[in-house]
Amino acid sequence: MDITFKNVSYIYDMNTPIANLGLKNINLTIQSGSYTAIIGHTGSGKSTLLQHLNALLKPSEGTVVIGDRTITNQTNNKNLKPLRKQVGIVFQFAEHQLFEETVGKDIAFGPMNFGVSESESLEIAREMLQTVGLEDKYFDVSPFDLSGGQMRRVAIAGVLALKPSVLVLDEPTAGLDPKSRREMMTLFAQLQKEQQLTIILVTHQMDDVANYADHVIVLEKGQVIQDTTPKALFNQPEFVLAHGIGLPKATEFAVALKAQGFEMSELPMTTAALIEGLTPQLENKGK
Amino acid sequence: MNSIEVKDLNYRYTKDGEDVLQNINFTVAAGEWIAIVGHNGSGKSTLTRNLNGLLAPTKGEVIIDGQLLSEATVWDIRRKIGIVFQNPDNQFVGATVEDDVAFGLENRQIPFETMHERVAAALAAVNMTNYAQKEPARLSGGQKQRVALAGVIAINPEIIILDEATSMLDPQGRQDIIHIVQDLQKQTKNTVLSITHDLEEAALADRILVMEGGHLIASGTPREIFSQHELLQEAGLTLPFAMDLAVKLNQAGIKLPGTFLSSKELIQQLWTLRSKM
Ligand SMILES: Nc1ncnc2c1ncn2[C@@H]1O[C@H](COP(=O)(O)OP(=O)(O)OP(=O)(O)O)[C@@H](O)[C@H]1O
Ligand SMILES: Nc1ncnc2c1ncn2[C@@H]1O[C@H](COP(=O)(O)OP(=O)(O)OP(=O)(O)O)[C@@H](O)[C@H]1O
Ligand SMILES: [Mg+2]
Ligand SMILES: [Mg+2]
Repeated sequence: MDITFKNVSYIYDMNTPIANLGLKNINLTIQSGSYTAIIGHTGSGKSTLLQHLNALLKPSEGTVVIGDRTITNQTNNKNLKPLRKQVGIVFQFAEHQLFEETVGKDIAFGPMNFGVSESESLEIAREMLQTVGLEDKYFDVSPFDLSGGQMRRVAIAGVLALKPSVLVLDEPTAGLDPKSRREMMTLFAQLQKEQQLTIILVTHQMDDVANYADHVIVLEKGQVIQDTTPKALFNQPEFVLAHGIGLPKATEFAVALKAQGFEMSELPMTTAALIEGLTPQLENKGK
Repeated sequence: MNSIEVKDLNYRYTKDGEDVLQNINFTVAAGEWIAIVGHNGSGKSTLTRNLNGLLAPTKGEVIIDGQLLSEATVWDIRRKIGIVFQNPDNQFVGATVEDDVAFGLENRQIPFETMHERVAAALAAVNMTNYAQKEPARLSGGQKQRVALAGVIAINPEIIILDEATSMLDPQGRQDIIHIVQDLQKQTKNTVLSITHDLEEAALADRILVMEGGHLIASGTPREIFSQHELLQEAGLTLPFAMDLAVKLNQAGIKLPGTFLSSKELIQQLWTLRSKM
């Protein structure tokens, strides 16, 4: 399912004194099966953009095309169900997504809502709980009696249970411990490969952008200021730093080394590439 | 004097539930910066809620500033502690950002004039001045976290507890906030407890406490903690970038003496090595 934004603007509380710009004239295309990272400062419009992907917000101006669905400000709220089955969103504050009395029922809600039988839905839920790394003992616990990171996993499990074809993730690893963070990112990448999922990831972790995404969109004040590949983006460190978005750790390190006189023909994005570029300069000299 | 003393603390949420904190013992000196790390569900947030009496220990004692936490002292003690919660939405009470930041000061009977100044200064510090009149619920995730922090900065309490307070900030914003709290600490010697999954941030602390399955399994300087490989494995932690790079360089045949907590230290060492050749 390709996704296209055409001249999309969004204004919060339009025509009121507190009207506030969310997005301004966004044009972009996200290809089916791609892994797109959306990055940018606090308040740049990332979450606002994501909410257009399942018509939770509708453009004030312009159109959003998702597969064969076109969303404009005229679109009514009927018949959005198929879209919401295809596009699964893990929200930034995932705990707001939880509402059922037990973890199991919460995860099973999605499939049941889309017509899967109760027993089958609960079975899917059990499987998903395991997929996101939570022990079975949490199945009958209230989702509100969980730790922050545990709640986030339940929210992720609930979205995965829908088996969406587009997986939208708003800072999905915020609040996860380092090991789980890695496992979760690996899981998403695996799903993308095995099931040809389209993934759209909002993140402040530039290492994740470098390691997983094949496409990156940079937002600033509600506008797209770059639409490119991670490699091309992070090879312009001046641009990146001028816009305060940060670099992958290996790239940042390489930039600092360069300033100390080390040679870096192409800036590395990973530790492995950094080491490869660095070792010849440390070993062979003087031999 | 010790700012925080925790003795044989146990906590369970329900009568017949399991102890989610077990036999926790530690002390924190006034003015220390402590990072608390550990797996999801290891008990970090539960521990901090026991420190200001939001939860009452099932067993054991909490002593803040020499005062035993009890029903009689809880209000006194709460005044000394400012917490930024893991989810800022659970924290907002004001109709506007400004009111919200002022709330903690009102509670502490700060005169109106001073209050006004402190609110303005705190909002400026977190770069949210332009949002003073907005409703907290209508902010972006990172903006919410900034406002929650402003609330604590305005109060400037003796003990500042940050529960993943920067988890949704961009890299620059994250650094800014750390610097703001560090500056505050320099001036007024606050004790800081920061729960974090960001190991670069943990590496800046005076001391790291490691939680695992309801137990406090280690306490030490970042250098001590990050050199214990088994401990890191057990607690699901990875190395900060510079240490990880140094280990891998060693494996690639570049021998580097010592451990490097920050990129700065490592770059210095690499530069020295290169200029010697
Ligand atoms: N419900 C809302 N009502 C009014 N304005 C809003 C609302 N939600 C967000 N905004 C504003 O719209 C702008 C974009 O917000 P958005 O949440 O999309 O940012 P973001 O890029 O996701 O930021 P962050 O990284 O902090 O989560 C911000 O200026 C924000 O204050
Ligand atoms: N309100 C509650 N009622 C019952 N059990 C709870 C409640 N809150 C947390 N727990 C349980 O207590 C344990 C510790 O939770 P806590 O929130 O302290 O973890 P944490 O270390 O802060 O984790 P995270 O990194 O995910 O925030 C977890 O197993 C959790 O499921
Ligand atoms: Mg957001
Ligand atoms: Mg917690």
